[in-house]
Amino acid sequence: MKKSKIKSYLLRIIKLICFFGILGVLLYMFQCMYYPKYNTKEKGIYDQNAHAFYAEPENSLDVVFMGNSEAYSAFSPLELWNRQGVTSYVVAQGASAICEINHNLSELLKTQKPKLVFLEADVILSPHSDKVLLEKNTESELETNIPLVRYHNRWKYMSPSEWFAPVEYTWKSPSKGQMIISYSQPYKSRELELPDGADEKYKNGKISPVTKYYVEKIKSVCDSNNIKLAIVIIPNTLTGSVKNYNALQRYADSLGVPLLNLQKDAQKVGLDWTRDTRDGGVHLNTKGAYKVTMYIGDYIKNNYDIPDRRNEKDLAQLWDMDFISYRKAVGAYLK
Amino acid sequence: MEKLLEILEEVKPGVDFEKETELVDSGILDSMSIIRLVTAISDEYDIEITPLDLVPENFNSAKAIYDLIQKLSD
Amino acid sequence: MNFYSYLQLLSFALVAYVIYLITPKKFRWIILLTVSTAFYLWNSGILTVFLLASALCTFFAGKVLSRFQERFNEEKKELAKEEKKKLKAYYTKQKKLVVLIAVLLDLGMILVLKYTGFFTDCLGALLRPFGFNSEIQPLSFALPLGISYYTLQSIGYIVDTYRGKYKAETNFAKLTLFLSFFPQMTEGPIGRYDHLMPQLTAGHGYSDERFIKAATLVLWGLCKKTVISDRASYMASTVFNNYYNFGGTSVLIAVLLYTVQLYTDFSGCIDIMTGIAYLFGVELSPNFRQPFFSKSVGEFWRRWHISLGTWFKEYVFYPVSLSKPFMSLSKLCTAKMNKYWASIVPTGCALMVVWLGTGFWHGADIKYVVYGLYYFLIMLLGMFFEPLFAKISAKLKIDRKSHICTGFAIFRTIVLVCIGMMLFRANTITDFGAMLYRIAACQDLNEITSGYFLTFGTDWQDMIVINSGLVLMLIVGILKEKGKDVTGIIANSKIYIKWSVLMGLILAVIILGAYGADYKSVDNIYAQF
Repeated sequence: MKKSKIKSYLLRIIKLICFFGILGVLLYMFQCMYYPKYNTKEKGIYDQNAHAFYAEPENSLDVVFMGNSEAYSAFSPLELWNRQGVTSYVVAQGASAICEINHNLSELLKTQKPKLVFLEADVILSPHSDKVLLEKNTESELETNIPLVRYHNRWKYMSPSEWFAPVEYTWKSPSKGQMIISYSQPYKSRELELPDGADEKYKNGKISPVTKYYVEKIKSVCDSNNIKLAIVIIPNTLTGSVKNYNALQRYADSLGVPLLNLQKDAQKVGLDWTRDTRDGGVHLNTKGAYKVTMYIGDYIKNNYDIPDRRNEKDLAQLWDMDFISYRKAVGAYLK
Repeated sequence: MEKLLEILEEVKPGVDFEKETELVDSGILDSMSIIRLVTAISDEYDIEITPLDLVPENFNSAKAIYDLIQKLSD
Repeated sequence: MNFYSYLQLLSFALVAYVIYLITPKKFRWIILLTVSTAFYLWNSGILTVFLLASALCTFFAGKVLSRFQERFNEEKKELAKEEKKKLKAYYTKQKKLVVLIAVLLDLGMILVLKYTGFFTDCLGALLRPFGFNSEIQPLSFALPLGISYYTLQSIGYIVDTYRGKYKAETNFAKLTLFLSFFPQMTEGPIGRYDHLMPQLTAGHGYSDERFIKAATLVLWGLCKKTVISDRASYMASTVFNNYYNFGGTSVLIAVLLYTVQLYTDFSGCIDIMTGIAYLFGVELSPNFRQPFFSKSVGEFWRRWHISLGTWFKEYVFYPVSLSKPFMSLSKLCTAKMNKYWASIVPTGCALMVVWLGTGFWHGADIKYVVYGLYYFLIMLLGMFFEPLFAKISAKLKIDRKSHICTGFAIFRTIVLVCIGMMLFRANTITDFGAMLYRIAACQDLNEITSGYFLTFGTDWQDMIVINSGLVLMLIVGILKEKGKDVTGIIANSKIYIKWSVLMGLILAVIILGAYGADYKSVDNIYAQF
């Protein structure tokens, strides 16, 4: 009796393995077909600007700025290069779940060996409930780990020639991941007034455990790759509050991660919120990004040992050319 | 029984009530016909029919309806 | 619920299933209760207290009613006929009081939570001509999950115990399981105690056939929802929200797409929930039976949202029609009118009550009441003209059971239903009127030939997917109409057929599903109830 029972269980398990095996092979095949082969929006890549880092030469980036739309609005890697020869990059996705950032960092580390990562705070203070954060991050986990889920809709736009072509991500971002938005929509005063936040949902200093899980994951990735991590607060009217920033300071201290609070240091940075914001206080514009980058540049010089790479001929040539194009695009505005 | 068949004919003309045994299950008598039938029956036979009696078993054939009437007349 | 919510639900159900299977048979219903409670708390949080209140009210009402019945049965033994009648009248009065209180409490909760805004609006509208222009803020409350469903389910139980259909449940936990069984909380179906309870406590175990049937049904429902419904929703929403920018042809297509969207969304969700329940050996009562094969609007409502129609029939239509006031009305009519009218008028009145209730149940808006009345009028006219049509077809020797007549009847029903759907979805009644006018008077075939109608949310590839899906659904529908148990056939077929169907459905959901960055989320329409 027992033997046949064991036999039937074994058979069932084998059937299950075969079923999922075949399904897995089919899914993998479709995934290879649907995976975008070139990193532009036209060719189907998800968030073109955040996936431009693939095209940078290996081991050419020493500092990385990560986060959401605050990050890509507030840092100018090319200005940093021009000032002190530090190679940096912005890897940021607008309104993204923090899981995406973790994923992008892992992707970046496949071809780069940065020494320093700045994590912008807005992605930690994101205004969502725990339940929503859990859902968003689960979605993100599914989409980043099973790219077929992210790219399944490409059947509509692909041509058969793309199905089994090799993956070649060679599109470069001319501004190293920064979003160049130069117009300004002033905030009501030169200084940013932040509420206390005690009575407001999502401004009262609670950091979701879901977010903490990912921040700690990012920290451990940095630790195991000998990367220094720092958190930067780019103040904004959306998530900015006294309670939020205090809570973040306490959290950063508990992790042993340095925190740059650009609301506290607003004077030193020299931000003028009547001119440096593109949407009345939610994001900085290129001028604001310039000031922030200068401040961060000083901070890097005083606290970290990041090499000046202007003596690396080939690298410097590329970066200098990129800087010239960049200044052409925004130069007049910066004056 | 003849009176019952007359009533049934009025409520739903054109159906062979003597032979049919799936009046409710096959949809010949829908809920509105049943109510019209019940109103006529309770009037004619002076009985009280409650919603509890309105199950398919009691209305699937003329005989079943007749049995119900007998039961409620007691 | 959007796609990811369904995935969440399915993972939850699978974990629950594993725990259920390793639990001894006797205690499996407790696992179901625990799982359902966890599901409910996750969804409704603090609002769970309302479900609890309803369960308590229902439980005690049932117990009291059964106790009265028992006492009556005991006491009547010794009595003569006259005394028995008196005793019966006394106990009936007591029972009626209990039912009244319990039902009022139950209904009271949903009326306050769901309809306060509507009532304050009505009150405001009534008082305005008298100069009261108060700024009553429209009160709106968050609704506990499935309140529209479990309220009806509990009222059904209370009335059934009043009627003595079965003895009341003596275990509060079991009654709570009946009301809160998680697959039925989002979109029903509205269950009956005598049908559901034995299945919930049976503790059915695993069987290959059951698992495959359940999996097939769940995947089929998921396909309907994410591949067809979500896809169709884009054009439908775009046009319904901006109909003034579109010609009649686009509006017509949008109405058809909306009908597709609603049907695949609702029936898809029901399929998923039925499949999940079936895993645990519980067969929920069917809610759809190929509704678009109906030859009349009456038949349509016996094939669409069946559990709702059945509930209204059992607990509104029958009691109302058989109540003393209505019986007197029908006696009055018999005396004053010819026999045909005399039978139609009282039934018609009872029917109106049913449709007002059905309409109102769908939403706290005057639009839904009109929706209910719309179908009422159609059925009333149907009853009214029935003898006339019978005479005409007899005279013209038309066989009403012929294919042509049946085809015409089905087509006519679909048209009437689509108009009803348009009313259901339109943002206001005036919008509905304007859209109807557009369809009737502003047809512009250019919108089809130029491909214009493919530019607002649903493109030509989407249309191919939707139409292929509909063809597949039609085939399945025809098979089911012929009485074939489609999931059963698949579960008992050769392994390569089983596997092909399951893998095909899984791949269809993942690859053709209208989810992800390219598609905004489309929430379940019937889950707002």
